Amino acid sequence: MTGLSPPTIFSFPVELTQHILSYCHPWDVAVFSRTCRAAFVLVYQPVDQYLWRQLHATHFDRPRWISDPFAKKEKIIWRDELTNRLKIEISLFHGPPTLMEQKHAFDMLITIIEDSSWAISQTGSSLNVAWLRTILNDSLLLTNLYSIPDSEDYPLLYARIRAYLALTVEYDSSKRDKRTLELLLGRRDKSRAYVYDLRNCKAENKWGPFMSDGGVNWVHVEHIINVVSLNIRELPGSWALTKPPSCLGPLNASFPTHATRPTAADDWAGVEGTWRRYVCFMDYRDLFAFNFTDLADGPRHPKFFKDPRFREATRLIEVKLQLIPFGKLRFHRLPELTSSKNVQCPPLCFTGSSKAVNGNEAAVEGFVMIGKDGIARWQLTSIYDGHAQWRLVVIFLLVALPNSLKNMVVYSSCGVQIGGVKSPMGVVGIWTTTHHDQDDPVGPFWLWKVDDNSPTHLMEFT
Amino acid sequence: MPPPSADLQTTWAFLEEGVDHIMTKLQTGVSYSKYMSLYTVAYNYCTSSKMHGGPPSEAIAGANLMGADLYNNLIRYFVTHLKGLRGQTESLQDEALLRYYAAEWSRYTTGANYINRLFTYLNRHWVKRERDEGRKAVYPVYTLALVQWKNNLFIPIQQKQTKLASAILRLIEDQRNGSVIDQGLVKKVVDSFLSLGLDDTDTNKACLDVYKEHFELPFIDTTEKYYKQEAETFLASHSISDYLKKAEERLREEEDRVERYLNTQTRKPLISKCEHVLIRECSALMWDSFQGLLDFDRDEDLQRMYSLLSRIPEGLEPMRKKFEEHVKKAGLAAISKLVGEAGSSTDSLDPKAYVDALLEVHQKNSETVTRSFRGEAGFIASLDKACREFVNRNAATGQSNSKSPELIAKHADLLLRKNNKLAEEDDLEVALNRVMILFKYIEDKDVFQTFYTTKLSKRLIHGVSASDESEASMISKLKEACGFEYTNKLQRMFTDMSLSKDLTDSFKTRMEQNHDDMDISFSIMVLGTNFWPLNPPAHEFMIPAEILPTYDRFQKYYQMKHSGRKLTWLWNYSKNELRTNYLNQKYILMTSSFQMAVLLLYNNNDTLSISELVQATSIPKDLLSQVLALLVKAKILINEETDQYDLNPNFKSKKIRVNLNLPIKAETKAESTEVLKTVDEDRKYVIQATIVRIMKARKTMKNQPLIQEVTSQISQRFAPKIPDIKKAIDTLLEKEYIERVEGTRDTFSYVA
Amino acid sequence: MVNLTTSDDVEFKVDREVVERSVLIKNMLEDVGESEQAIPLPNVSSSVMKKVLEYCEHHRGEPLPSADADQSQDETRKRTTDISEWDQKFITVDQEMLFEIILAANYLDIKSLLDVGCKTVANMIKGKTPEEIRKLFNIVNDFTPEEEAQIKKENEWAEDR
Repeated sequence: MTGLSPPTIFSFPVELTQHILSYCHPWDVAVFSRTCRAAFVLVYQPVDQYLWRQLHATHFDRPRWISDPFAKKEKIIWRDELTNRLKIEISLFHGPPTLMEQKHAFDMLITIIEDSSWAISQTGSSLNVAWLRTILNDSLLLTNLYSIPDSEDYPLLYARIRAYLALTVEYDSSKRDKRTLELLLGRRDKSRAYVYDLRNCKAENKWGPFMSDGGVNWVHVEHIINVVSLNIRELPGSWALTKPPSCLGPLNASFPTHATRPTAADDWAGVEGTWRRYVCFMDYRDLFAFNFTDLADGPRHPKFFKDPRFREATRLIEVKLQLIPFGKLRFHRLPELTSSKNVQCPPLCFTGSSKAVNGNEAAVEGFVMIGKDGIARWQLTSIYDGHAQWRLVVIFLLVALPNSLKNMVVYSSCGVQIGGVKSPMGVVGIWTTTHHDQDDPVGPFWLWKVDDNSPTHLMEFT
Repeated sequence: MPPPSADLQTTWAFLEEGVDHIMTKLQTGVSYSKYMSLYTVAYNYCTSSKMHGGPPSEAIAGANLMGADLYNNLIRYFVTHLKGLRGQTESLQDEALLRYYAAEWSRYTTGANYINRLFTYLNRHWVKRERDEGRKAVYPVYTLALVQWKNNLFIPIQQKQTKLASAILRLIEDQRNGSVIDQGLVKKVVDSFLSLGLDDTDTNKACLDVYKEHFELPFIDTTEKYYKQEAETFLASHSISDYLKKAEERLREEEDRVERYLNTQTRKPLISKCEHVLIRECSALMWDSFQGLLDFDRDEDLQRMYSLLSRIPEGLEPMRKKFEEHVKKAGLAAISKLVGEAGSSTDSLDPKAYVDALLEVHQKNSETVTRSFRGEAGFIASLDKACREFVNRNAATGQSNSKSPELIAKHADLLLRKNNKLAEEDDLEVALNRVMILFKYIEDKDVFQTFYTTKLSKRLIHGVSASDESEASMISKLKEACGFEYTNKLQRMFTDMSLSKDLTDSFKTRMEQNHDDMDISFSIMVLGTNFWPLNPPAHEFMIPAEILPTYDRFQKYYQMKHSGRKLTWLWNYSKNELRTNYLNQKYILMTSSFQMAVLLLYNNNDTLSISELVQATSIPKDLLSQVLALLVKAKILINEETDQYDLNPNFKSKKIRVNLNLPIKAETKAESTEVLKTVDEDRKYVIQATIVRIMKARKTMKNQPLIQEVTSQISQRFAPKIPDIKKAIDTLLEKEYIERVEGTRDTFSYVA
Repeated sequence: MVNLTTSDDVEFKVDREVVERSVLIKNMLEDVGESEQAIPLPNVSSSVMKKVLEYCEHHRGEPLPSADADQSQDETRKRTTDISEWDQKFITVDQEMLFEIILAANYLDIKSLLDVGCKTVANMIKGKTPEEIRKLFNIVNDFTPEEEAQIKKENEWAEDR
């Protein structure tokens, strides 16, 4: 400046001071606003949202609802978006919150996780992940979540947040995590009892983890996640490392390139590409014994799984999918597909192949559609040639099929995407045969996307 | 240069002078100090906002950014500036207008680029924030200049009978009429239309709305009118062949036009409009002329018509239909002509002539498809459809579905026979490939299969096959066309032949070791019952004593080798050679088994009555009389009294080897009917088996879907008739393979 | 070489490559063309210009940010308050010079230098109490007690951490 007086922070034009503040943590900005009137006006009574927008963008991913066609088109108040997020950070560290605060915090956490999935799918990285990592490492959130007794309020919300966070439990082997892991393991048999209960797979639930009103049954989802993730943990060697990423991403902290793989413009769900799928199941005799006999204190009793002879199989499968035009599906004929009026996210139909190394090849097809709740629902059908079925379930799958499906076995899987649309965490759900006969097998699955070049030394493990 | 603290009026007065200099006198240059002073003054004004703290509640304007005033003054400047230009355009028309517009546009945009950079700070802060807050009508300075140009110059000129666009369109029309025009000028003006398009949400994004509304729409419109007119007048005085050339040329020209001075997005609407006017509107005329071009083999015109009509949806369909009809007619005509030449009887039709006639039609039209229709799949389908039609139903076949497969199988048989004169060694493969072309079109492939099998078995048994290689080659072609199952039997026949040769050899070796009295040379074929279309004689046969020992030895030998297998002797297919000892000259008589049995009786008798012969051979009388007739005809036997046959002691022949083994007339005639009977039997079985297979998979099924499914599964082999399927269902109901579901009339269920 | 004249009439002769760190000068040279004329910089004094040129000299040849870099969401996401070692040393100056450098960088349109300056000021604010910040920047607390209450309310979201 040519002026005589030396410049002070107040001789800067407004845009410059705001630029400086945008490099500060929001809490420092709050402190700055308390120094004097001019500072307060600059922070809290600006003519535009520049400062708060910048602060939000520096610390959090852009909220997905902004680009969500379902969201009400409200004006975005960036200050509120940011302070709401920071408020729950404080509340999670300084419990115990009230029930309402707790609910609010969980709703926000879910939003933050789903926003991060969205950000990853758009840019390959996420700011929310760093924030989540701090929360999960340094707060008692996880331990508290798993200590809550069953008679909780908001059971679906609690189940959903646990489903979103289950895989982070082993993120660090700190003492606190060990405690959480024990709590998680304690839920395992109950989860098995739920997942393998044949009554939980019925038409009313659309053969998937759904409520009769069409909403997602997060309790079911959580149980599926518990069963599959704890099974993966017990797989030997490199299988245990072949698993879906948690909401914090894989351990090495960088997301696989699949996230940035260019996808077709209309592939809103990120269908195209290579996937991995874990499928778990019980020997059908066990499944029957568990469901219909009194072997362990009556039918469907969790004690059944305490028997040391009990075994559960976990298989890793490679799935490759590609989009096909609407209406080219061979095995699905669903009126609901045509009635969907969602323009941004129309139902996507796909085909592909599925294979495990022991030669079980199947053709796959299915569709994804988005629910009113904004959660993507996947339906997948695997058509196995009649001669290459899974050994354990072969006996009652030899069913002649209607129409042109002679000598084929058709498995149908219904699931929901956890962690939001295009979430790296993938899709969890249950599989059964397409007949939906009373005696058909049922098991959980977890499907997630991987890099196209991921190693393929998949093998069978029982 | 005003000081940093200068007020708006002073600031703007200084800036306006500079802006005007740049906009109007840029060619005189700008000095560094001028440039820097303009930038600095604008910068100082924009950064004059300062934080200040009134009471928090009322200091709303405290954090305001400076810029709105400068921005509004810029708008005012542009508006005034453009008004001046507008005045100049009033008196201008056509090319003069375009030249003025293009020159001013280039001057204006260059200046605006300068101004944009001088006001960088305004753009980066004040403008950006206004836009971030959703005020999309605030633009960066350069874009603002364009918006003003559009609103204050472009739109007003266009509002006067779309003066600008019309001027361009007139130039384009001149060019279409053959004049040379200044394409660069057109391009400049058209480009300005493009630049004036604005995407409100992202000023960097191209947006074609101005271009589309003010240029593309009227352009497409005049194009339509122009070509409509041209097509009408041209066709009034020229042939269709000339028109095809013209249309092709015009379409190419329009593609070039897009390339030269229009936006690529115009290609689609422009070309599709041209296609509509030049092709669609004249398509009926083209379709009508198509037959004529075909009749006179106008390849080039056909090509051109094809490539034009292929550009419009459904344009080819009528062509394909006509082509199909054309091929069908040609095929039918060729056969009618052939039948006419051969006389009224189709029985005497020469298989080779028949096949050649069919193939000639196919080949000619197949070449047309490749040459003129680029081998397009739809035309291939039409060709196939037509060929299928005339190959299966023509003047030679009449109502019979089996005639064509029979003739083609016969032709194949003739080709594959030893010493055939139809094809030289090298050409045989070619000839077989040609058979396959027709085979593809045969509907009742099972009829062909049956004839072929019968003919093959004859060739093999009588050892008249041209070569094993050619047989194998033909079989592999059939296999490729119809699958393993279709040729399974044929291949098994060859296996049997080679096994039989080994068997004969090993039997002979064995006999040579054990019996030195073997005076009869003997060879045998053991043929699997299921694979050969052969039936044992329907009557008893008394094996002559002369061959009985050999017969017994072989039976024993075979039993020993394959215990439990029963041999059925096919006397009716066997042949023999007899050496004569009773005549001066020694002859070798080549006979059938029945003839042998008769003749051997004359070892001990000179004369025998027919009833004695019947008794001694067990051959039924009517067959025996035919056997005897041949012998009598050959003068081996003499039949002077009724039913009395004497050996002719004076038999004479020019040849040493006398072939007596001629087919009996009744046999030849019976053959074709026999074959067809076999086919019918097979079909019944195939239909029943298919029903059972389907029902086993489905458990229950309604009548109609069942019939449909059966038809679709079988249609590759032959076209099953619905009454036959119904009959088969009834048979299966009787046999209790399936049953009616109780309480329903037309639902069946599978009985496990 | 390009001639520059600062507000206090001191001349600098600088390589074009160095001075083109300033997008302002770069654009002008592009628009007007290179010549012997001196470029007047009425908003920058020679002492500050010296500092700025030191920075430009050190960073010569590095890629310039694209024209609309600060508009992009992506750019914001990748922001850190990290400053490279050389820059850190370079910017270790008294507050008056720091502010002068920031203003000069803003005027000359040298984005990277502007960011280094702003980050430095942000780092000075980090973790301090209101009182400490006041002291740092010579700010006078002009709130009335009622205003204090309102401020407390607005800042509730950041309390109790």
